[in-house]
Order: sequence, then C-alpha cells, then structure tokens
Amino acid sequence: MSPAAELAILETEPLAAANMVVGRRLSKRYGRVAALRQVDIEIAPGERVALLGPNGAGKTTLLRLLSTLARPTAGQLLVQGYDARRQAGAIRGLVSLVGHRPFLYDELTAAENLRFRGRLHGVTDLPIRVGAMLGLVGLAERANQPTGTLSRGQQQRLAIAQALLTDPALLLLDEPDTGLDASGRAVLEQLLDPASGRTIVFSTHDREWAQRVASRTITLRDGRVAGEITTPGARPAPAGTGREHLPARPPRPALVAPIGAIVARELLSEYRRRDTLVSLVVFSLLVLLVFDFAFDVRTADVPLLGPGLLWVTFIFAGVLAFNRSFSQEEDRGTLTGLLLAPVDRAAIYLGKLLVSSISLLLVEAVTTAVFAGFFNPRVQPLPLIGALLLGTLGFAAVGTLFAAMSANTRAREVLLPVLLFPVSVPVLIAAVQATATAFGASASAAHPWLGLIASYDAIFLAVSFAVFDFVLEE
Amino acid sequence: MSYMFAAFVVVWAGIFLYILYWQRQVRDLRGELAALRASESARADSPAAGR
Amino acid sequence: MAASLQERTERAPRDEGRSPGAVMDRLLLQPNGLPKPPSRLWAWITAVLMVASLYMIFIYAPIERTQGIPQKIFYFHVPLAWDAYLAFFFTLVGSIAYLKTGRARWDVLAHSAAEIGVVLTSLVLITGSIWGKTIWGTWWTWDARLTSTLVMWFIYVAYLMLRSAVGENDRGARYAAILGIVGFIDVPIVHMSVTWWRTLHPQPTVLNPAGPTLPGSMLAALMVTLVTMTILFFYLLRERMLIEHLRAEVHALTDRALEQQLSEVDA
Repeated sequence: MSPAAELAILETEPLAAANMVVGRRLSKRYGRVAALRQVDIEIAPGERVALLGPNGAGKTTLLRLLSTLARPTAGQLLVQGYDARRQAGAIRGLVSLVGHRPFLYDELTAAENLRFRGRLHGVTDLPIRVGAMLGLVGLAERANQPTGTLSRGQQQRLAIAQALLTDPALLLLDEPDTGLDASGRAVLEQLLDPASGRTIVFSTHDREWAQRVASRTITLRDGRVAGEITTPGARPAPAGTGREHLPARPPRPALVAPIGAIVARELLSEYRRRDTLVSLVVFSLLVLLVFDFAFDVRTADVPLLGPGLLWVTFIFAGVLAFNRSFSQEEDRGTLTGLLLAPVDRAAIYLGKLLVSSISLLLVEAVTTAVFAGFFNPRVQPLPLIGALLLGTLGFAAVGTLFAAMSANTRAREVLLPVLLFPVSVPVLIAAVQATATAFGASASAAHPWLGLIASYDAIFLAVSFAVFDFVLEE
Repeated sequence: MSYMFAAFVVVWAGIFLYILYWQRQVRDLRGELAALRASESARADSPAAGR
Repeated sequence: MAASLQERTERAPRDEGRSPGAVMDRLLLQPNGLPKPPSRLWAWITAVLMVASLYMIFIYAPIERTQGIPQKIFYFHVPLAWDAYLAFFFTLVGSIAYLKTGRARWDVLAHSAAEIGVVLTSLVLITGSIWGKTIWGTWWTWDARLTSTLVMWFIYVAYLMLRSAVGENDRGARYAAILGIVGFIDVPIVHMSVTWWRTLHPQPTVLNPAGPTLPGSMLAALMVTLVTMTILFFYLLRERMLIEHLRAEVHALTDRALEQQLSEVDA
C-alpha cells in the first residue's frame, strides 16, 4: 500500500482519529538498532494504560514517540487527531511527560522552575496555578527552596507538578514509581485515580501495582506488543470523544514570548551560579597575558598586533561560551524540557543566541578595557564598537547552530572549533580589519568591512533560522 | 621539469590510491554479503528453523 | 544507512518515474533493489579519455613561453579544482534534498560527493603548491585563491569529522546536511573576504568577459582534460555511492539474521 493510500484510509476513519492516541505500524530505529517494530496502539480518552516489559523492550521509546521527542521512523501516529510528523508543535501543547530524570534547573527554586515551564507553555493565571500545583504534590512549604537541595523523591514530585501545570490532555509517565517514598506514591495514586478523567500512559516494572491502578496493561518485548490485558478490576473509563478540546486549526507555536522566558531563565541561572561569565572573563585575560609573553608586545606594536590579538582571544572565549550554552542543558537533561514545550524551535535558537552574544559582549568589553589599560592605544570608538557588535553577532549566529549540533556528539570540545573556525573566517578577517582601522593601523575605512560582517550576519542568521528545526529533532 | 612530474605523480597516485581504497572496501563488503546470504539460505533450508 | 535500510527491509514502494531520486536509483540499483555491480564501461571510458587528455597535454598543446614545461600542471590543476567545486555542489544538492525528503539516498549522495571533494581538493592544493614552487619560487603564498581553497578544504574535512563523530544514523546525516549547506554558502564569502584582504593570483583566464585569453590549442587541451575529469568525477561518485548501498545491504542482512535468531529464541 502506498503511503498516500494509507493516509487516505486514515482520513476516512473519523472514529479512529477521535481516539486520544492512534498509532499504526509504528517503528523506531536508532541507527541500526530497532527500538520499536511495527507497533499498533489505540488509546481512548480517559484510559490509564500501563506499559510493562523488560528493560530495552521499547517502553521509553514508545513514550518518547507519544511526546514527540522522537519521530517514528516508519508508521503513523496521531495524538488527538494531530499528526506527530507534521503537527508536533500542536501535540506538545497537549502532552506532558515525566521522564527518568526530572528536567529541572537545580539553581532555581521549585516555584521558579514551575513558572519557567508555565511561561514556555503560555499558561494563564500562572502564580495561582503554580501555588495550586505545589500544594497538590505537597511541596507548598518548599516553594522557595532551590531545587538542587530537594531530595530525589521531592524532585520527582516537583516533576509531576511541572507536568500537571499545563493541564495536559495526555499525561506520560516513564517509571514514575521509582524513587518515590510512601507519600510520593500516594500523590501518584491520586493522580492515577480514574475519576480525574485524564488519559495517562505510564511505564513500570511493578506488574501488580500496574494491574491495580491501570485500566489496561500492554506488555512490550523486543519492540513488539507481546500481550494486552484489560484489567478486570479497573472501573471503565469515562466516556468522551477526545475531540472536545481540539481547536479547528492547530495552534501556532509561540516565538517571541518563549525567547523572553529562555533569556530570563538563563540570566537568573547565571546570577545564582555566577560561574560562566566570571570564568570567561578570567580566561580571556589569561589568553591576553599569554599572547603578550609569546609575542613580547610593546605599545608601538599595538596598532599592528592588537586587533588580531583581541579577536583571537574573543573566538577562544566564544567557543567556550557556545559550547556551554548547550552542553550544560544537555548534561543536566533540561534540554528535553525545552524540546517538550510547544514553542517554535527558532525561539530556542534565538534565546541561546541572545544569551551567548550578551555574555560574550560583556567579556569583550572587559577584555578590551584591560587591553587599553595595558598598552594605551589611541582608539576611535565607533569602528571598534561596530566591529565588536556585528562580529560577535555573526560569530554567535554560526556558533550557536554548531554548538547545538556538537552538544550531543563525542569529543564535542574539539568538534565545535573544528566546525566553527573555518566557517567564521570571513568574520575574523573583517572584524580584525575593522578593529585595525579603529586603532589607526589601516588607512582604509572601516565601513566596507562592517558591511561585509553585516551581510554575513544576515545570511547566516537566515540560514540557521531555517535549518535549526533539523538540529533538535530526533 | 621535475616539479611537473612530481605534480603528475601526485595526481595519479592520489586518485589511484583513493580508488584502491574503496575497491578494497567493495571487495570486503561483497565478501561479507556473500557469507551472510549463504548462512541465511542455510538456515532457511535446515528443518529446525522452519517452525 | 538507517533509512535506506528501512526502505529496503520493508520493501517500501520506490517511486517510479522521472523524479530525480528515481533516476538516481535506476543508475545505482537493479530492479530488485540490490546494488548494481561496479561499471566496467565507465572505467574504460574514463581510461580512454585519460589517454586522450595526456596526448592533448603533452603532444598537442604547445609549451608555454615564459613558464616552460611546468605550466602543464595547469591542465590538471584547473580541472581538479573544477571537479572539487562540482563535488561540493553535489553535496549541497544532496543536503537540501535530504532535509526536504528525509530519504537516505540523498544523504548517500551528499556524503559520497563530500568525500570525493576532499580528496580532489587535497590534490588541488598539492599540485597548486608544486606549480607555485616553480613559478613563484615558494610552496605557499597567502594569496586569495589559495587561502580560500584551504579554508574550503577545512570546512569539508570538518564535514567528514562531524559525520564520524555523530555516527551512522539519521541525526548524523541531518547535522552533516546542515554543514553541507552552511559550508557551501560560506565558500564564496570566504573567497570575497580573502580577496579584499590581499590578492596575488593570476586573473581568470577562461571566463574572462573580454573572451578567453588562452591560445586556442591550449584551450582545446584544457577542455579535453576538463571533460575527462568531469567524467572521472561521475565515475568516482557512482562507485562511492555503490559502497554505501552495499553497506546498507550488509546491515539489512545482519539485522535479518539477528531477527531470525530472536524469533527462534521466542519459539
């Protein structure tokens, strides 16, 4: 059957589309490993489905597909009628996932973490809802405590609060019962109460517990459905069509508001941790010092050597800053949280770009000031400021794109400069030349060089904007 | 004169070595493929596999 | 490659007709979907053309007056450079098509072309360097075209490094496709910025607006080598892509064998 014919059948079956989840012959491969093989799954609204099976059976993969974190390699998946391939943004607005690791920022308080998630999702009445959710999971008294100081079980409960904050139509829980104490388990069981009417899919190793709380269990083995049991004791799911919440057209993922949320979150984190900026400044000053020893720079040489020296320092510091902007989120698992939010992927790119540019510009300002103090050059401020602003933007435009790519590869520390340096040669040449005119070393004017950087900035911002979707998708 | 010859040797040797490199790969892959096909048909013929 | 494997194992219907992808498949695959054997015909055509271009270079074309015999490097240097640009153009096309369609064959095209492009660019740099030694007396000058070719070489070496760092999966293919696009756009910008910076290289001789300045016989020799090298490039590209298809075939068979073992265990 051709894909077109398959699609036509799906479109003529409104009943199937009215289900919360419809998966047809879903397959997922990671490289050469088949994690899921031709799984058919249908979940009606209000069902509480438990996924059972040994490790590596495909439970987590199935949850990742449902949450749009991963795309099916083959087959078709509809969540509330939205296609997981083409309308993933709309699905993200309906679904919440509690993963193995809670995607929480350690340095933010419990309430701040929830507020950040709420802003990404565009939740209204945010302060009230945050308070209500914290109360629901029994963390009201810990609202202003940094998340890093909470216990494992408390963090898990906070993760559940984070998932419920957006009032999801479909709640996905990946082994939610691990690491929970008795009171946490009580919160969980309350969550799984059929009276809530919420559709829930969760994975667990505890078969007995699953049969008690779920309305249906699905056992996976080797990426296939090995068995399905409708639990006899479970009350039937309340009737509903699942189409109730579905707006006529899928909502457009937001762009501007999430950028603000991401930038504000990064700045708050930096204010709490104070580790990136300070270390970058110290690093840059050290590079300056090392170059001074290496070339024995005198004041007379500064117009000739100064621009290159400064820019080499900046691109080294830049590589560290870009690397950090994604690798930190990747290592803490918080990138998953960003990917689950119904925001335009470009918002993540632009937010990161802004934060990296701001911190790099601050580092450059301090370094240039110290450089001026060391060597006393005569400087024209305008070409210098133009070169710093435009050069940093162009460098960060490409650097942020490549950092997102290299963040989850082997040897990312080496890979990023290898990718970034050759591509940013035009910025380096033009920025050094423009800076040289500022130091009076070159008779030519700065503006052709600034024009060159500006065109580079425009071209690569546009290109990165267009391709960034492909970086974050799995 | 000698420079010119050096240049030609580099070009020929370069392309030749590159072709040689992937010819080897092709040979290895084809060998692997033949072995896999043979073992597959052997399994299909044996009664134990045809459950 | 993951997705071609997918296409192969599930025997997904291959789109028939005149779409570029279908044409490419017909060039590389037999009707049953297995890779074609290497082509002897292409190899012979390439070999005969090579002999013809050697004749054109050494016997037909006159010896250049000021540079003497070393000028003959030019007849290989320029077509190699042309081939390298062509290769990276194919990488661009394959990259864009892969991001648009998600079909593995486009990734195979981009990857194969990039690898060939890096080999050819290395040869361009080496022959150019030897030529430079004879006419400028130095192995390397920081002239605009040399410098931008070197940067281009680094960009596509990074492309190959990126692929090996991510591994053989569709994420690696996507990342590589992004670099294939960004890198190709970057090359002319690099060239422009380096040209502004300094230039020493001879002005373009063939695509000169006032008409070619090269004597007719030299131009003829250049054209013959240009055609030869282009044919050679397509020969290399086809064979290189066949390797990827063979690899996918091996993967598919290995997986089938594993699958069978698994189902035997189940039973």
